[in-house]
Amino acid sequence: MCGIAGFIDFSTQADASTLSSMLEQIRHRGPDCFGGFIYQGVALGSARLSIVDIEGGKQPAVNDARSVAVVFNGEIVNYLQLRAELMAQGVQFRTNSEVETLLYLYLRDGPALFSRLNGQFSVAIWDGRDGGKIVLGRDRFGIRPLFWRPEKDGGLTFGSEIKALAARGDGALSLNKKALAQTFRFWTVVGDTSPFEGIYQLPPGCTLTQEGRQKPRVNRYWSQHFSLPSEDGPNVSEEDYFAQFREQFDAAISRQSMADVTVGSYLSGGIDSSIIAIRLQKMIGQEHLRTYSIAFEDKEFDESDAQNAVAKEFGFNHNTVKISSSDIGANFPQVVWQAEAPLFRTASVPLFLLSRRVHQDGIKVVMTGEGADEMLLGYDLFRETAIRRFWGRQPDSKWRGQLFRKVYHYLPQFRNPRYANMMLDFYRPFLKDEHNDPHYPMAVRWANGQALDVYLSAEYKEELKCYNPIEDLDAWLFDGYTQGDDIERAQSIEVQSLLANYLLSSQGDRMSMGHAVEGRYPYLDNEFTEFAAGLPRNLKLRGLKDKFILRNAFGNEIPEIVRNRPKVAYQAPDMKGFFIDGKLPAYADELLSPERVREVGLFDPHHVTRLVEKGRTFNLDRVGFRDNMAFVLILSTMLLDDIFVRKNMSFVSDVSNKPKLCLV
Amino acid sequence: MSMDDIREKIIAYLQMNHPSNMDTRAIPLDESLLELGIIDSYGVVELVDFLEQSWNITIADNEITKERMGSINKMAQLVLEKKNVD
Repeated sequence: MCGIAGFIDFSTQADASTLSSMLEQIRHRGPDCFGGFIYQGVALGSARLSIVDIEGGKQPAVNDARSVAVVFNGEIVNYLQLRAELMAQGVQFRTNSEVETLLYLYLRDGPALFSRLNGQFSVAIWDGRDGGKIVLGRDRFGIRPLFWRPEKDGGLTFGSEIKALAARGDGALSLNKKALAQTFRFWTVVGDTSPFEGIYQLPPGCTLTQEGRQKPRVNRYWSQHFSLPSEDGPNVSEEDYFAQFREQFDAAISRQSMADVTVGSYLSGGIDSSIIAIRLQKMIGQEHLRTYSIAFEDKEFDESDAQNAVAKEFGFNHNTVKISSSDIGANFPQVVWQAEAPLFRTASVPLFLLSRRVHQDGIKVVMTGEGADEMLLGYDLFRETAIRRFWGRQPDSKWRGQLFRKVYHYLPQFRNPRYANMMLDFYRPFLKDEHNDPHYPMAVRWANGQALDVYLSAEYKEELKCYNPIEDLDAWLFDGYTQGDDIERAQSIEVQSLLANYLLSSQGDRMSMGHAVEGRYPYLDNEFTEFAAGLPRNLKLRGLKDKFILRNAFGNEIPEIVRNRPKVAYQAPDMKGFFIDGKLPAYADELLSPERVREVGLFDPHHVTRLVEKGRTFNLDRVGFRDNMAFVLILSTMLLDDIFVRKNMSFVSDVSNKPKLCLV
Repeated sequence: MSMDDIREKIIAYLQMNHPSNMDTRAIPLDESLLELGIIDSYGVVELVDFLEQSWNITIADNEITKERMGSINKMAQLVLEKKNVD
């Protein structure tokens, strides 16, 4: 695992010191060594964390003619097969590394190589033949990040994080107003948008090719339907499917746990991560798998009972990081610096502190359960959509809407029968679908997001009044999106927005790589996701039971406490994490002051002040989702401005002894 | 205490705690705040708290309905009835 960075400059010779400063910005990702390749105006670099072929895997990999160079960040779990395939065709390898496999695969297949890869990666290739071109590629789901910026001279700068890009040129950054509009609506940016003006992300499952000084072309190399028609016919029994599931699941865990170092496992208390840990321990034959959990002092968020019960039952070597409410506010600026994006929740903070602990224990790789809810239909969104359709057919029904109580049993306003009747009026406007809205499943969430527009300043709203963020979402939807039914469309949108641009990035890559810890995602393994897509729908969502097959395929091997534990959304204290005894941390006081808010110009000072006042005076146990989300979004955006635009606050990776750049 | 006083206080509460894109002065007095999107589902809990504490009344479970609380006017009416009983 690593970070990568580089550029093409058409005006002047590339210099090593620029490359070195770019890598220095992301050295938390790869503290073990810096490697670089420089040829005329081209520079490619890598900051490496050694996990596979620790000695031989030095980067960049360069061919004998020195015409092609490759750097990459990630893991290619099928590289041994690809390597064997190339060797059978006569390729002679010098090392046993993934990066060399990528080099020879590119020499054979060109940019088509990406569709052969199973894993998590961002790759940059310089091909000096035929006038020269640069090729970038990113994994299917966006586990590993890749940003790029077109330059005035026709060149291009790229890097794993925006900080690396900012280290080249004048370093000036400004916030992208469209990105803010997207985040207020969808909770994340979408498509190729980044939170900063003039900088793009390479969307997951895409490649970028720039030949000479021509405009870069971005192409999608992967697109998926999540509900494939079953090819098995009616003769496959549920037991057969369970057996297939066990086989596929174990195979995914085995592939994804590939490493020459010790692998640990995150344990949330829920079924997704518990099953990974249980199967992993069994497969690697390690008696005491190291597991890691987040616990909260505030019982509202704490799941340690469930975590400890699983850990005890299976004899894991279990480790817990206990988070207090004040930890949230204290660490939030650094977390925003790592995330480089507006955040709508604080749940990233505990994950950042957890990876610090994992790093201190000398563990570089952890398995995690992201992706199960998208692939096996775990989210409330899927059930909510089904209920809206069902109720919408008989909007006068007294009991159809009551089904929402089953889905949202964990929310106090639904759990308490006192409020339940009235609660349903909230959904009433979203039952009908008179205009055949292609995004019907998302209507409630997006309307909730839109309600937050009140916090945006009048100038901002005026400037963006013609901008419709849905157009930027639509431009990047998977092929065949509209042919899918409600559930499949909801899956697609979740995969392309929340999963890619929040769970795997702001809560995933950026939080774990902030402490040089690499996450592994068996539920997002290529073969596993294709298998899951082909499973009959009712094995995933059965009535209102979520992830049915995951809960049942392993039978009694998975204890009752894990199998039947209702889904609990992972959350951390939001406003409660900042207002300690009615007081905000000093930085938040300053950033949310009417003067600063007015100066930055994005938000309405009156409404921000009112929200802060509410935080100071209100019983924060009684503050709803909307206020919490508004507060965290505004504060994180103001921090982005303070850190990246004004450069008032600064952070550096906590890695001492900066490695020297070794050119190949 | 008149209907108008109660209404004013409810509107002031909404302005302070549930800002929306709709000018609070222009909220239709006879439409559901939930359906208008002015409060979210949790807002109901906050609203009941507000009414009970502001006027020192108790709202029964079977009164937390669209019929009794589904608009600013209905809520004002509910408060008024309860205060008159006292």
